[in-house]
Amino acid sequence: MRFLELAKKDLRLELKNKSNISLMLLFSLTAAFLFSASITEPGRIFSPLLLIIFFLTGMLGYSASFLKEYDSGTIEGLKASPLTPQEIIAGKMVFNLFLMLAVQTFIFPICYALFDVEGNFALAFTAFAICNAALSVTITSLSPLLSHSRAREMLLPVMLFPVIFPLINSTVVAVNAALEGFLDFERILFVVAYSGIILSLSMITAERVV
Amino acid sequence: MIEVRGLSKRFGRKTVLKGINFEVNSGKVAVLGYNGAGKSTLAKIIAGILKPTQGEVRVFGKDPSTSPDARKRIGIATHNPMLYGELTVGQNLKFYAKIYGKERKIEELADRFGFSDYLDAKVNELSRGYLQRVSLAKAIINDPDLLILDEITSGLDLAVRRKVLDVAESFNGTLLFTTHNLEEAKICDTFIVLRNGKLLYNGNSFEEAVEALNEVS
Repeated sequence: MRFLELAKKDLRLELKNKSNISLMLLFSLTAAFLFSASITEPGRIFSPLLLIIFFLTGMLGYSASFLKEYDSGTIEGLKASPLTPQEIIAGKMVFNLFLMLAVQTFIFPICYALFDVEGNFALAFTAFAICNAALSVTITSLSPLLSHSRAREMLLPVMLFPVIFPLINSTVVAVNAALEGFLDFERILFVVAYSGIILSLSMITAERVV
Repeated sequence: MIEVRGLSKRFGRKTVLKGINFEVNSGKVAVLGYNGAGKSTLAKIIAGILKPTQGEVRVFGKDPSTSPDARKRIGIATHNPMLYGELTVGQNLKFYAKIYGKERKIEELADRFGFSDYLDAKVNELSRGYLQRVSLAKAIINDPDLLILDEITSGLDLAVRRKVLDVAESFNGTLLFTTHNLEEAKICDTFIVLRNGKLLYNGNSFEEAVEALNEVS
């Protein structure tokens, strides 16, 4: 379980400088306040607004831990170590899932209250957590592809959007269903399977991209 | 132990290594060459950090870029310390010890390399000399059979340079030492000379290696 050591190291780094989490929280809070102030009845479009926030927040945060290794040259230390490229991706994924859960635990209730949403909070939180985890897995899986590119900050959203569009679509439907009180297993299963496929492709190509 | 056959490496349009062939079974090997000769690229390919564009590299009979078992037996220190600036020296070494699956006493390493007082200091607060001491400790944290030192003495003061050379001299396994400092290369018994990515000399004579190197200039 060497990849867990990598995740623990990232967590330790994050606790020290808090750069990712503060950036993600600040961005999502600002977006949440802006949406709630400028849209009438934001509760009706709660899930798409939340997804826009988390998609953009995810792009800021999830790829950062990977790209920092390249920028600081520490990726060479990891590549020279017995860690396999798959373990490096897995380690980053565990850390990003933790980051995702931390941000969602803080932001979701705030958005729920700000947007004046009516519905089943616990079920919506659970459905969104599953879909958000899939989003995190997908973004982390694709991040190493762009790590060598000079224009990666610009390329990331361009490359990500078409890939994660099916996730966004299904998440909106699943969260709306959860707010009405039932879990849309078909959509959630699709989201999990889709991110599983992206993850598998990332693991297969890891030797070439990390 | 190290077999390099027909090794070429390209970065974009630039070919950095051109058809390198050599074999090392044991001992201390100096890789000599001026800036841009391809020494660091060769060291990184042997360590498994980079992949060859053409040809084959085998370390302990395996391709180091795809074999974690081979990499587990290699230690590398380069001018890039490969350490996390925000973490302390102790946290960095503990992280690498766990990755290599070694239960090493960090304090012992710190004593040996003279940075015991800096175990709780952040890496980005260290001077270059101490940074290289920690980098060297990281390189041997896995008790490697092959130690690669890539230009690690560049820009260091005499005391740290002496420390690095002591470690290199007393190392029991195979040493691959890339340098452009001829005096330092004397601790080795085999010499490889590179020029513009080509192998000019591979043998045991220091004088012949220097001659080959001087032909370059």
